[in-house]
Amino acid sequence: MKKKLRYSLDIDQDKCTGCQACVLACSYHHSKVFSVTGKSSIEIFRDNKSGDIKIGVDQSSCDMCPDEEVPLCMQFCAIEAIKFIRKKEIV
Amino acid sequence: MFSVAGKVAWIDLSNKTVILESTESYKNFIGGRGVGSYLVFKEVPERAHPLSPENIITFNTGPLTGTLSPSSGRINISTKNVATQGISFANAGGYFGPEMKYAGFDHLIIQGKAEKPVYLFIHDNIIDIKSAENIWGKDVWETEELIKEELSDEKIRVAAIGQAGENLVTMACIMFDRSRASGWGGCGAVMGSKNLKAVVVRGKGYLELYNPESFMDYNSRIWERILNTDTIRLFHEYGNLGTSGAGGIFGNLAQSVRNMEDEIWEAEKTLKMREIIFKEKYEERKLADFCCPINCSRFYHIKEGKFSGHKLEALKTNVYRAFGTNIDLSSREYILLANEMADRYGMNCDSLSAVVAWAIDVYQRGLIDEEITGGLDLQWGDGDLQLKLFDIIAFRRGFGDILAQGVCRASQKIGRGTEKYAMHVKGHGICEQGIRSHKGWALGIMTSPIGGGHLAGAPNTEQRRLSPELGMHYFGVPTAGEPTVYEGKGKLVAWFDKYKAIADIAGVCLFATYWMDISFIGPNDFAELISDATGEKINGKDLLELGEKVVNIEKAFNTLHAGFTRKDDRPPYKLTEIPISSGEFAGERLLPDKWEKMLDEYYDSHNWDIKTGLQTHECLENIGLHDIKNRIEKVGKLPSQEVNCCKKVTNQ
Repeated sequence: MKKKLRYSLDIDQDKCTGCQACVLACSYHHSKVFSVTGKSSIEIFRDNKSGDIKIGVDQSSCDMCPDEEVPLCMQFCAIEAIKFIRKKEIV
Repeated sequence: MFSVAGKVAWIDLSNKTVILESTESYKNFIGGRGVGSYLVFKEVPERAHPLSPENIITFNTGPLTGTLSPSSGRINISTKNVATQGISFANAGGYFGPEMKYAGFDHLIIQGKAEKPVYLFIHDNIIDIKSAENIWGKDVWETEELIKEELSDEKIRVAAIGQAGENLVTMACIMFDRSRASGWGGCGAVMGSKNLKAVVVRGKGYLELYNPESFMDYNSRIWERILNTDTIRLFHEYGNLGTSGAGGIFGNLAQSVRNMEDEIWEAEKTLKMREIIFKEKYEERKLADFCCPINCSRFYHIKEGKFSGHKLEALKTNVYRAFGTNIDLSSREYILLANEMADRYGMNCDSLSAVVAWAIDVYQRGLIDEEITGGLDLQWGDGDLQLKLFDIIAFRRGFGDILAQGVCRASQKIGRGTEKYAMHVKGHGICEQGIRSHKGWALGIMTSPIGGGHLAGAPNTEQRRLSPELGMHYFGVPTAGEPTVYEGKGKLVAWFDKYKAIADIAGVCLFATYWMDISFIGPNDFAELISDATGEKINGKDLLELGEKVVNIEKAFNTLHAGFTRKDDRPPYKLTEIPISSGEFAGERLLPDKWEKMLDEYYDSHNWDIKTGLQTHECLENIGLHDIKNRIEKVGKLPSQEVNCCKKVTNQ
């Protein structure tokens, strides 16, 4: 049995301002277009009434932008709310 | 076409028809305010009252709206101005603009008047006209909730009017995402006059760019430039209040105090408004508009006292001045509540403050009494009174019905010498700070085609104290960073007239541009981004020429519809006669003779007639506005440039 390191994205819900720049950056990475629905591994929505930010990351479609030094979503997060989480995965 | 949805919708509410057109038809004006101002000029007849079915209201996005360009969430609203009878454009943030493009539409042109209250639901390339009878009478926040429930979709984006718009209040605005206002020109009342309660968008589409790789490459560098500035660090720390709040990091900043009587507020009051107190006491989270690195907004929660439990997105410096310093009110909670109620009723903070502060001012001077106010005792610094006045204005009850007409008309109606204290430009109420001391800032506000406000030509270089070298390099004006100097400011404001039009055309917030910080987006940056996005090659010079063209279309509209001339570009009484009491700029006021020379330089920089302030035959010919030239010529308001006998005066 071998343990392999694997990374995933974590968005800090308290820090996130809801601007969706990461969503657009991700849609560009996957499809070379800009969209906030269906083209991105990240979904972010702000509830205007409560001020709450709802965040969803589809880890299965996120490939961590292998051709970039750091994933595009992190490059465009102005408040540095996105981090790598290192996970150990048993193979 | 690239970076656009591709469609323009003409929505006639009288006939309940929608006609579609290609966005390609408007590519000469690129987008946003360029298209909006052109359409209002072309479609609205001179006889049309702003609140008649003949007026139109446009919703316009730009080529960068909805892209990963910084602060690209803007939407432009153009219409005939309720307060001035001239042009109106107003620009809002939030998330509505991008969502409208993703739903399939770049521009909406709304005409006519619905028989009964309606709202528009725009989704998946479809426009539904739906009944709003059950939401008419509700405030903006209730409206958003009710429509979300009705459509069973929490992700819709709502642009709505409150009771002020329904009741045709001159200061009524359109609220986007509950808290983002397109404030100017009474555009909320125009929607109300059409029985249009809301425009709702939900988009699942995407934007394709002409050269996405090149766009991303250039865009990344702009993001990096913006994020590596002191300006952005202040915004991130304290939001909008960080750069021009009660004191900012720089100390005691100018304010609009007691109906703009002064610009220095008493220290004990200012201290209660420090940015850090708002941050520590009320801030629950930082908020940003669509794709915005600046984070100017905050979500506040009042946790104790009379208003415990209230939550809202706030507090812009304009709002703080409008409902705080200008009313001499130093209660943070009452200011936040005033912010909430103005948002709910859908009223513009500047023009609302102008009429409320004027009423208190003239009452205190003994020019009006309780017989006129309906028994109200109007005192400075009374938070309950301010909320009461908002209420009677929005519902046009008693004295509120007079105030609802805006400060200019209210003062004319009452007379008794109150007109002298009405703070307005071309009929539109204002609430500004630093206006006596910062001469270019003042000139931009007074010459603004929408009737005041600092979103047309007013530069920010004086506040930033730009060095003579940088002033010369960027604008050819070495005095650009010297607040009290008049010379050079005409040229500077004429440049910012054109440049700020470009930001409004592109669909980008002015906070992300040169206006806020010289490291941010400049004309050549806009050109690179727009060229890569659309495939239409354009350079910075071309864009400034387009800006000039749009400014001239707006100017021509004002000449034809409102008859504005040089006399309408002069400041109100208080600014020329009552100096600043203390502080760095003690004694400063706007000196009439120097003002006139500054105006000369401004008109000259635009190639307008110095004597009258009107456009000239040569100017309109040179920029290719032949039809407009002919229309103005027909009504005898087109002097020839040769009459500019005073032209050389500007260089002395």
